[in-house]
Amino acid sequence: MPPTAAFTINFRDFYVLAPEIVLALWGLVVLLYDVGWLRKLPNASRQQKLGWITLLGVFGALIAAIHALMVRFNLYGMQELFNPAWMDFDRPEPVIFWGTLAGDLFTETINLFLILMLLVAIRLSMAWSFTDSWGEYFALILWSTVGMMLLAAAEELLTLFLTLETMTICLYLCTSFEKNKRRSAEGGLKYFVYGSVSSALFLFGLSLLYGLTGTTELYAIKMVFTPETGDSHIGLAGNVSGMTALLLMLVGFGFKVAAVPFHQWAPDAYEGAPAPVTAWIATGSKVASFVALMKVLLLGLAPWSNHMRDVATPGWVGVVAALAAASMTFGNLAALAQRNLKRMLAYSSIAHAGYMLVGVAAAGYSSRHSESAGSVLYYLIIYGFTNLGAFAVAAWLARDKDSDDISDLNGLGFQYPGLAVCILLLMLSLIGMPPLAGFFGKLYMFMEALNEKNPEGRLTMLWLVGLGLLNSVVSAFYYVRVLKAMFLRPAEGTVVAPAGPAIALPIVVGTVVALGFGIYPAPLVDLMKSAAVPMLDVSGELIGSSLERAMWNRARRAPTGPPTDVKLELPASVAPQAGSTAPQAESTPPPLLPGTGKGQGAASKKGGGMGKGAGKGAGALKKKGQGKGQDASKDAPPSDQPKTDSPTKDAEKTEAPKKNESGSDDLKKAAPKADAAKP
Amino acid sequence: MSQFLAHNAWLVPFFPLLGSFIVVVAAKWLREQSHLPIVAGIALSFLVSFSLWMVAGPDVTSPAIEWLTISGFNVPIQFRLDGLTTMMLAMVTFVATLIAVFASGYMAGDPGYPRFFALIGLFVFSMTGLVLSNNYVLTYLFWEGVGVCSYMLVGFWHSKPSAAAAAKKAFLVNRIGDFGFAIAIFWLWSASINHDVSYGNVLSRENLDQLGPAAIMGISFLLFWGATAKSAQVPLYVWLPDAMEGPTPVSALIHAATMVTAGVYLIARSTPLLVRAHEVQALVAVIGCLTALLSATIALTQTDLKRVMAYSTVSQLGFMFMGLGAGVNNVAQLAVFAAMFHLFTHAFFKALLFLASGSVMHAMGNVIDMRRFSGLRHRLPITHLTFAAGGLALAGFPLTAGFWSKDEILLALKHAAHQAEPGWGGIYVAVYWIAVLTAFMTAFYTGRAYFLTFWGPEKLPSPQDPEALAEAVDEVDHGSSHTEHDHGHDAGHGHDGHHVGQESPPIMTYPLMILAVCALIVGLIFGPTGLFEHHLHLTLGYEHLGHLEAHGADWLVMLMGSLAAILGLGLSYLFYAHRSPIPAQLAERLRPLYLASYNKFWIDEIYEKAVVGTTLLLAEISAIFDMVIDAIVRGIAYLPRWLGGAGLAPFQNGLVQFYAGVTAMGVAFLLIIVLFWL
Amino acid sequence: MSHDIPLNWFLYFAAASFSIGLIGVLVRRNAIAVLMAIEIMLNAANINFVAFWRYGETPPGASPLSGVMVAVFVITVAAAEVAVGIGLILLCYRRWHAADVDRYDSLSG
Repeated sequence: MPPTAAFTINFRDFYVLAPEIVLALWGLVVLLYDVGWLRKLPNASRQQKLGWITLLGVFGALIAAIHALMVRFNLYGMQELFNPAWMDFDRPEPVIFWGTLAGDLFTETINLFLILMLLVAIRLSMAWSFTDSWGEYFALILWSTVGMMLLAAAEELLTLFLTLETMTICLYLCTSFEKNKRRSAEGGLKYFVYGSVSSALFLFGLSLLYGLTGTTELYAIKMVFTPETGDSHIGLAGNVSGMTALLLMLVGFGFKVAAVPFHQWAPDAYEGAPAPVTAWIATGSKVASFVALMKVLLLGLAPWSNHMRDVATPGWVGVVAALAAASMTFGNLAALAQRNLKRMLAYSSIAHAGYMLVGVAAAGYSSRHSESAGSVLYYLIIYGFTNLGAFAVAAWLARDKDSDDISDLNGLGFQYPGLAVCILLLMLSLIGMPPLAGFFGKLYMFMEALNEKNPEGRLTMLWLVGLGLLNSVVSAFYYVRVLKAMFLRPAEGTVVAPAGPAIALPIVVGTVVALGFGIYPAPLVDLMKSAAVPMLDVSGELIGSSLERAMWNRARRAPTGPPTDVKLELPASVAPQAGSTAPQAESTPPPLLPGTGKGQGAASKKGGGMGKGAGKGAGALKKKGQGKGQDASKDAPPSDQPKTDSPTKDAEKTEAPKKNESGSDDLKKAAPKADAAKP
Repeated sequence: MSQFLAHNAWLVPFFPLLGSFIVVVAAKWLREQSHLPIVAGIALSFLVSFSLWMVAGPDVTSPAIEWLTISGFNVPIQFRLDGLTTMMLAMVTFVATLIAVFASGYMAGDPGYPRFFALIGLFVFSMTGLVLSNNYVLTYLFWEGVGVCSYMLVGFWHSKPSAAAAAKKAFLVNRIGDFGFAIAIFWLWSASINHDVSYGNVLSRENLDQLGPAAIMGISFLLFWGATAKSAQVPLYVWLPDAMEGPTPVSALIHAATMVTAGVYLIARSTPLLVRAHEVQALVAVIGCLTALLSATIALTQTDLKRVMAYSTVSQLGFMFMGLGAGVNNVAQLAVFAAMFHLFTHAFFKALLFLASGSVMHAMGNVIDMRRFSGLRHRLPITHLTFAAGGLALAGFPLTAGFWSKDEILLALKHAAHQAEPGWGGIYVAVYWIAVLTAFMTAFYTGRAYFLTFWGPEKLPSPQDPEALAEAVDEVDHGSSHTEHDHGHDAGHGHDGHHVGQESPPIMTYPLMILAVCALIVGLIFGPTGLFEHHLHLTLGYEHLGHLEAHGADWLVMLMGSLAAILGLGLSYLFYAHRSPIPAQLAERLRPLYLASYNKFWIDEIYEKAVVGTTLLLAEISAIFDMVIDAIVRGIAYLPRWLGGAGLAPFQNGLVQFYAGVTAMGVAFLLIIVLFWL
Repeated sequence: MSHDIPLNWFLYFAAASFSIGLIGVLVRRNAIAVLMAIEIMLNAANINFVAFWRYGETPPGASPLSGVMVAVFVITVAAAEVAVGIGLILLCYRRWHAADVDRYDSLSG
């Protein structure tokens, strides 16, 4: 098979990326429109006009994102409508652009929520005129979102680095957009310097990881590190370069999610930035970074998670647990001392990162990766929307009082009781009071953490969860200060003007989310649980280069055969398939969205593509693999001769460590692998 | 029929919620009629509760509604309708109906009238939900719900700094308790069969048998921890007296009759679990005993009528916990019945006393300091009589409600002293005697409050009172504006004193009368007849509790209780009912009379020196204790703040290079730790 | 053949320049110098990438995302970072009339 087959650009790839493409192009449109048509207008009306135009593009992206989900769940017969021959829906989960990006349920879900948050953030940006360069401002916000969405989709470390940089560089600039404000420029510069240093550290870690594995693809990295499939010597024990690589990469993510001790930029940048930008940094960028963090740790570095897999090292679970404990405690304690609302929220968001890291650590220990990861995703989304609302309050103060001390809120509860009640609910949700969504986020995540059966992991999780609960008690003390100011203090000095739709929107949306998903969390929980499955697996289904790179990697270490011996044949599934085979009846599709009929329908449609492979491939796997095998050692026992294994063994053995996972995972794995073995 | 009723149990919380929804939506039109939807909603919910009383059974539940299923953690919305729940429901909705009616008169003219009633409706919704829930998580949910309602209602008069501080204190102290409760739930969830935290599963025998002794001890302790904050026990009782800053009907409903009993309810609900941890039981009894004694001592010297009532509430809750703690071995059933019976009767007479105090306050133009008025029995005849009825019940005067329930608790303690594990009996003996002493003190301070208010020469508050002036100075010292002082305690409820000294309108006195009748007879109806006991038998897990072969009336204990009540009331009568007027000009004009009453003064002096002296000393000690606890509670707020400010701020010094350095050090530190691990 | 110089030498060199860059970031006061130090750190990583790429055998037909490609992309990113960095430094310079990073400390606590 000609290798070029793999590099054919498929229209489907662009189709999957539609929301990102719309946003990226729309950024240009906004910029040009500003330069071309709006130059002469006064600042305020330019802002309003551009804001609405930007929102138009965001709506376009929203439609694309919703469309993707509708096709997936086959709502209103969307699959029949949008399945022309060129769309090539018969391929399994799309991993697009040669395996660098994913386009699955997970990315579609995250895209949807990111775009919804973006919508709110852009509307919030229209609240008051804090700069002159509106075209640039809106374009940068759009492009940072493109970075976030691609970051969530990245399946490969270079892509991940590039998207991370796309996102952050845009945000550095946005931070310093407030005109006539020293602190805005200062915040931007600090954010920039700190961010660049941490991305350099991250990159250095990346280079070490590349050196260890010879690849940058997450799934391939996982294969190399898994003793059964890769070189069993690349454990973490005594592996200085491995440990360094791991820690340096954690710095990069720790910076993005603002985890102690990599958090120090956050309070300064949050305080310095214009409030809508702060809102966006604290929510959108955090959501995307957390997703990427989970992907790297739970997918690429999963074999290094804890010493159950690799004796005598704590693995990254230990490190993440330490970061989580430090972030929770430090964030909450520091927040207690704050008088400035934005700074308080900054520290509280550090604490929230700590809670979420507890969930990540739990997912590392647990055999229920995807459920644990789903609980973190749930928390993330709730955190995002409620925090957007909370920062909108800061924006309100910044607009009308030109300062954002908590005491500026005094008496708000009696001037604007409706919004004040909304803010009350937001704060209670952030504390974690039932029946609000923040409570369920914590409950769900901590429950998952306690679900750990392994005694040692259980102990770690017990104290982490205990600390988390204690910390949420501490957090009540500072959130209550906001409530006290609003409801229990008389107004003093000038009063804030009515919020207006721009500021009311985030607050109301946050409240609706906190209340709605608090009272009835099941739909979002289900969605996140099913989205987490492809998040941690998608590369497993692939196809393209990951598997092949792993094979190569194994062969590369073989002393007998020079690497050139490895005949790299691209798995057939990468190439567009001519003609469509009817889905096999006996192949059970993976339950994508358990419990919903629509989900099942969609899954079976998707399963159609995989079923083809699974049905035939299960039988064909052995034969085909042996036919293709490079070595004569196809009958060699599995583990003692890892270096001479055939790809077939490879494919079989990848399943071994996943035996303990749920049945659906097994199915999902088996299907594409069989697919990959097809001619 | 019973099936039908069980299926419609959701109506109980629903009606008040609907009421408050209507008030919120239609506040603009309802305005002065905002109480109507709430009163109607709570009354309807009382009717449903009353009919549910009939269908109660240990295993009657409403159908489960799928609600939350995460990671093997299943929380359906389901109601349990056993004896305990239906008893609580009927009591809560009945008292709430009367208090809502009372409040519609009391709060008339307040600018926050609709807000007040919306919150009351929300509170009743949460409280009924709390007792209806069939699993710990749902209970916890409503537990927080009542906490938030209480927070909003304590701080109802937000313009008063003291109200704001009290609200915050209440909220934060309760968070400390909730922390314990939350951990208990996590623990229960992870240790129980099937990871099911419904009461039916957790309290089933199989489940309790498979829990290890450490889990039973730990969970019991944590549940009790949660209960101490909500039910204002040592050391977390400090919020309740301050919570009296809220409107009086709120104090009556939330901080006397219903919400504060949630902790007692929780422990009673978990009794099948707690009886297996006799150490925790002893702790419950001791804490209850300490609380009862401490707060009764404080109540002796208070001059603020509402504060006397507040401390007496704390003290009575202590009694309930003493009762619960007495549930060792064969006494278990008797003990929990006694505690719940006291909860039941207490709700009536304490609500009555608070409302009557409110009525006094209403008539006195919002003055509640007992030194500033006296002899009101002719001016406020209905309030006087109803207060007297409540006072008798609280004092435990024979045949009134409080008598029967207090007697049961004493009986349970007495039995516990015999039945306790070897070596633990002594504790219960001590608790028993302290309980008797506390009963005596209760009678005394109740009598004192009653006689000071309604007996003696008639006197109405005037702004020239030395206490009023002192208060004014105080207020000025605290930097609050003078207008706030004018409104006094229940600031802003719109009575400008033009009818000071008049009996309250009928809408306020009728609830008082109904409650007074209840306070007098409810004990007699439910206690000796065994009605209450019979009903509570229908509670989940109670049938397996140890019970005594036969326990008839124990005359000795009854005598003890009666004696304590009568002695206490009698002593207060001697001291306070016929106070000599001390004013100097009277003494000058009627010198012989003055000399004749010398003896009396001598007694007063003795009392002053001996009784009041020691009492003051005790109160002083308790005040110090109070301060220490307060300091600890504050410390929890301030120590981290100090840490956050002084301890951590230097790290955030604004220098970006320093930040980068911290990062680099952080990585190096982590690397070293990780590489040399093990 | 490049194997005359062992891989480790490149790695030592990269590690050394990375450390130099990091120290530069930590100790230089001038913002432009800090920016340059960051560039050194990025380039140290690039050296790693290229060295690993050169010394690891290249599989034929492998995906194009090999170490050298990473290096090319990182150079691009570094250029973008410099552009943004200079812009931000100019902004701060206009406000403070100084390009010393330790002068910008109004946000703290």
